[in-house]
Amino acid sequence: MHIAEGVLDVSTLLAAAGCTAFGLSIGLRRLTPQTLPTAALFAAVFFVVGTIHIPIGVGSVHLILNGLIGLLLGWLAFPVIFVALALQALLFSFGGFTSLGANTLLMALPAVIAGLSLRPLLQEPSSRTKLLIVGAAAATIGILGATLLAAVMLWSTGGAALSSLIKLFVAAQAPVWLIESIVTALTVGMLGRARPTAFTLGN
Amino acid sequence: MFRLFLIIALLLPQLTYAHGLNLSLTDGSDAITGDVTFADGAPLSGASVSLQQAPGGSAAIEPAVTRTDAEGRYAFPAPRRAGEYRVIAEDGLGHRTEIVFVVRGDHRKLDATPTPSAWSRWLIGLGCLVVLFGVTAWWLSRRDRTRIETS
Repeated sequence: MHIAEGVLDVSTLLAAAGCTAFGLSIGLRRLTPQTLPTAALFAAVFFVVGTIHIPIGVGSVHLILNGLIGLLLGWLAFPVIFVALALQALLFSFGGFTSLGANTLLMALPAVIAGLSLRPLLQEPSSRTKLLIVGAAAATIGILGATLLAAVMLWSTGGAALSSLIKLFVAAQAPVWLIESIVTALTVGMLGRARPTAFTLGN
Repeated sequence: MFRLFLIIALLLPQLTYAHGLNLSLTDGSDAITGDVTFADGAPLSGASVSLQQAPGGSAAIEPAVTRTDAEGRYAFPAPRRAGEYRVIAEDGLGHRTEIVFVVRGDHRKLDATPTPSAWSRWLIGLGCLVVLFGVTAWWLSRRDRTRIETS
C-alpha cells in the first residue's frame, strides 16, 4: 500500500508531511537504548515484507504489519516506518520521496492507534484466546486505518475522479487484512506468553 | 549492422527488478515489446505501461500509454527518432519500475546499465539499517554517559 509520486496534490502532501513530522518528533523522543533493538528489528522486517509479493488479490499485494509494529513499539512506529519506507523508495521505487510523508502517515498513524488502544489490554497476563483476538484486532485497525487514510488522501486530491483508484486500494487490501490478522494474532499469541513485557516499549 | 544489433537485442532481453516487479524489454524491428511479471514469474495483467522521453533526453515524442494483457505483455510501435527513451510500468498501487533505452540513428540500443537484483537491494537496505541504528545506538549511549557524568 503505497501512494505513488504525482498522485496527491501539494496541499495534501504538505498536510500529511506535517502530521508525519509531528509523529516523528514524538516517536524519536521515545528512542532509548532499550527500545532501539526492537525498533531496528521491525524496521528491517517492515522493509523486507513490503517487497515480497503475495500472489492473491488485485494487483501487487504485500504485507504491512503496521498493527503488530504499533502493538510492539507504540509511537516508535513513526520513525521505524519512515526509515523503512525511505529505503523502499530509494531501492525499490516504492511510493517516492515526495509522498514519503503521506505514506508514513497512512501506515504509522493506524499503528499508533492500534498500540495506544490495545496495549492496555496486554499489561496483565492474558489467555491465549485474548492474545489472538488482540493481535487480530491490531491488524484490523492497522489495515483498515491505512486503507481509510489512503482513501481520504486520494479523495481530498481528486474526489470522484480517483474513485476507481480508491476502489482498487480497498479491493487490494482485503486479502492483506486476512493474512495480517492471522500473522499478527499468532505473533502476539506467542510473544504474549513468552515475553509479556514486549508490549510496553515506547510508552 | 542494424541486423546485428537486432539479433543481439533479441537474444539479450533485459530485466529490471523493483518491488518484486520485473519489466522486460525486447527490441524488434517495428515494435518495442516486453512483459511485466512478479518476481515469481506470474504475469501482472492490467498494469499501466508508458513509453516516454527520458528526462533530459532529446527525443521529442508524446508519451504513449498502454496496459498489459492477461499474460502481462505490452507492445509499442518502435520509436524512429534518435534519443533516449524509457518504458515505465506501474501497477496503480504505488509500485513502479522502468527501463531506459537509446535510439541512435537507424538502430536502437538497449541501455546496458545492469540493475541490481532484488537480493542485492535487500542486502543494501538491511546494511543501511544496521549502520543507521548502530550510529543511533552509539549516539544514545554517548548522550546517556554525558548526562550521568554531568549529574
